[in-house]
Amino acid sequence: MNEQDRDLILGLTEGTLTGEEAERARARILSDPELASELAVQESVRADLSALPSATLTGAERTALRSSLRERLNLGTVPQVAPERGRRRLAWWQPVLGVASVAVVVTAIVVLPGTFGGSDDSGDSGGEALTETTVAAMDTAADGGIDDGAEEQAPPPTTEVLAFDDVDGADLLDATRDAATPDEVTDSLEAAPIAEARAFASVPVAQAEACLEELDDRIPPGDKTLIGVDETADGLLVYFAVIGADGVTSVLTVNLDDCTLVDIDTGG
Amino acid sequence: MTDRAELDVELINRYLAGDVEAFNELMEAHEDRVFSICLRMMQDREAALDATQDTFLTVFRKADRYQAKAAFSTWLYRVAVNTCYDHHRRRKRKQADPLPDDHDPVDASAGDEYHAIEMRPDIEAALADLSPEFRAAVVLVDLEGMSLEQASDTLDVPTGTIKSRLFRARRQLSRSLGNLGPDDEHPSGEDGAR
Repeated sequence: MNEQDRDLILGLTEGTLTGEEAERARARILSDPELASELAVQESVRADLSALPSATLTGAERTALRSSLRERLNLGTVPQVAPERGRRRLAWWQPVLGVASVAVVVTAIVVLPGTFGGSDDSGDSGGEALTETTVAAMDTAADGGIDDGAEEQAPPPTTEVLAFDDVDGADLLDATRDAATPDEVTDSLEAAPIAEARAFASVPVAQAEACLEELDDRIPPGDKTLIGVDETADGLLVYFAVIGADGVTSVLTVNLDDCTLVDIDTGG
Repeated sequence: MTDRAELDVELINRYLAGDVEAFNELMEAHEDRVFSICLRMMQDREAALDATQDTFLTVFRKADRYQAKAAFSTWLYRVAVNTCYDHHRRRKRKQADPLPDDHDPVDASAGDEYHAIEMRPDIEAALADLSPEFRAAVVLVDLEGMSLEQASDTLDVPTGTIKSRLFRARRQLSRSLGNLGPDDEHPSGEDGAR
C-alpha cells in the first residue's frame, strides 16, 4: 500500500476529508479489496479505542497530587480538593510517609547516641528498633492518615526537631557526633539550622526506593533511613542514614531528580 | 488561539507572578487529561501518578521558559509523553536487572483492583505490546481524541510520522485483538514492537 492510499484511509477514519473528497476516496478504496479490508481494520480499532471511558483521578489521588506539588513547588500546604473517603490507595507519597518518617527518625535518634557516641548497644538491637517503630507508625497512619487529608492532620509534635531542610550530611553528623544521650542528640539537632518539617511528606517513596536500588553498587550496605530532604535548584536532595553492620553510620545525599549520588559522608 | 489557550497563558503569567490560585486553576483544567495520557501510556495507575506528578513539576518549574507560540496544553502534553517515555525506560531497565537470590515475590494479584480498571483487558494487553512511540500515537488520537495535527504538535514529529505510526499501530492492535491474521500484515520500515 502506498502513502497516498494510507492517507486516503486515514482521511476517512479521521474525518479530515471534505464531502466530495471523502466520496471519491471511498469509491477508490472500495474498488480495491485490500484497501477495503484495511479501511475496515482501521475503523474497527478506532471505534474500539474511542469507546473506552476516559481515565480520571480519584478525589484522594487529586488531593495527594496537588498537595505534593504544592510542597515541592513551595506553594504552601493547604490542599484544595476534599479527599474522597472510602478509597484506599496512594501508594507513593502517602501522607503516611510524613508520620512514618518522623517515627523512623525518632527511633534513629534513640539509636544515634550508640552510633555516634560510642555506646555499645548500637548493633542488631538498633536495627530491630527501627523496624518495629516504622511498622507501628505506618499502622497508626494507615488508620486515619490517608482519608483525613493533610489539612485535618495535626502536625506531629516532634517534627520541628526532625526536619533537615538546609542541613547537609556533614552538618547532620557534626550536629550529633558528640552526643552521648538521646537528649543530647535532640538538643544538638535543635541547634542545627533546621527548617520546617513539611518537606518530608514531599519525598516520592517509590522513586526514592528505585533510585537507591539503582545506586546499590555504589552505596554502603545496610538499612537506609530517610532523615531529611532539601529542595534545591539542582534538584530534590534526599538524605539517608545508613547504619552498616560494623556500626558505622554514613549519610548519603542523593539527588532524586536525576538519581545521582551526590555525597557519602562517613563523618571521618 | 482558543479561549482555553488564552486562559492558560493568562494563568501561567499569574502563576509566575506568584498567584497560587492560578496553580489550582491550571491543575483543575489539565490534571485529568495528563493523568489519563500517563495511565494509557504506563498502564499502571501508580506509575501514572508518579509520571503525572513529574510532568507538572517539570512544567511549573520551567513555566518561565514557556513561550506562547504553541498552546500551553500542547507543551504540557508533550512533557507528559516524554516523562512517560523516561519512566518506561527506567522501568524496563529495572525489570532487566536480575532478581536477587533471596527475592520474595509479592502477591501479584494485590494491585489488580487498580489495574485495567478503565480498560478492556484484551485492549490493555494489545496496547502493552506496542512500542512507546506507537502507543503514544494511538493514545493521543484514538483514546484522547486529538487530531493528527494536535498529536503531531504534541509529539513534536511531522504529521506524516504520526500517520504512519497510527496506521501501523492500529494494524498491530487489530492483529493482537484477533481481527487480523499474521498473513495480512504488510512489510514496513518502522518497527512497532516494543
